[in-house]
Amino acid sequence: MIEPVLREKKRYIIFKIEGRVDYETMKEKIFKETFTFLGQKGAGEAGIIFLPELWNGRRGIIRVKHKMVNELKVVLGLIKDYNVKPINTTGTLKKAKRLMEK
Amino acid sequence: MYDFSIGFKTEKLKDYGFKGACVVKEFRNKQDYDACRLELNDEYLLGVRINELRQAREFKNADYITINNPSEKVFRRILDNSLADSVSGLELIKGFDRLHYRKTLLNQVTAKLMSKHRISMVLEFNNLKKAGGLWRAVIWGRMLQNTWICIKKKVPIIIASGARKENELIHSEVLLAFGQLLRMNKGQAKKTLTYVQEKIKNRRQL
Repeated sequence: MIEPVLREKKRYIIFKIEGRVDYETMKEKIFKETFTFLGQKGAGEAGIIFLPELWNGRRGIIRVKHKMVNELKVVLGLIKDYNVKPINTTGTLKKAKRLMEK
Repeated sequence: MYDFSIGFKTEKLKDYGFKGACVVKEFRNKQDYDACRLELNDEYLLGVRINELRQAREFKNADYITINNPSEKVFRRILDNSLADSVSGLELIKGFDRLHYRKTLLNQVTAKLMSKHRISMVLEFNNLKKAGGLWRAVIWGRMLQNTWICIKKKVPIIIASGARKENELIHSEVLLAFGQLLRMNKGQAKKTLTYVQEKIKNRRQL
């Protein structure tokens, strides 16, 4: 267990996909595009974590390191088969859940 | 924020975070342009993508004139005589980079001319999206070099999606992040989506 002070700072990006997609497909697409654009080193540094319990078929939340927010937004824009839009970025999960319901 | 390089009229601009847009198409003659102008309402600007120099004179009074991936000679003529509002596709030259610099049409001489005649450089996100593998890496590096030269020589930059179909539209947040990844700061990235576009819009209203 790591002390809160030593943990890396994070941001939660809320994104929206046009049309219904299942969770596994969406996760695979985002990971694949991250590896293509950022490489293994960049993908590791970004520290991407998906939150499956908050995925509703169209909207979801990704956790990413605070310095790699721009990189992840560009990765979402580079996905070819689906139109993915990053709606908002927050620092806390509570606010992210509230924004997802809007 | 404005998206200054789409190829069609759409009602989804607000979903993508944009206030307005400029529809850019190729036209054969002025009559086609005027007919298309009547169909669009005042929310949109109508731009012309030219291929030859004589078209620049024919469409002199258009809202917005741009040229995509010109040859060296045509590019130099446009800069010397100020025949267009912007140039795009400067990073799409065929062939690989040189040993000491990346191969693009933009250098310190052409950048100074662009700055003098207020001709903007357009960076289209879809050029990067459609490329794959090694070619995408080459384009990315050239965009970085071009952006650096433009910032140094004070050339106006426009970032746009370059969408030709509805599923190619890009959200404004992605374009802002794209600008910041090209080593612009936040203010410069936001300016690429607003400054030049508002000047062209005001010019049209006059």
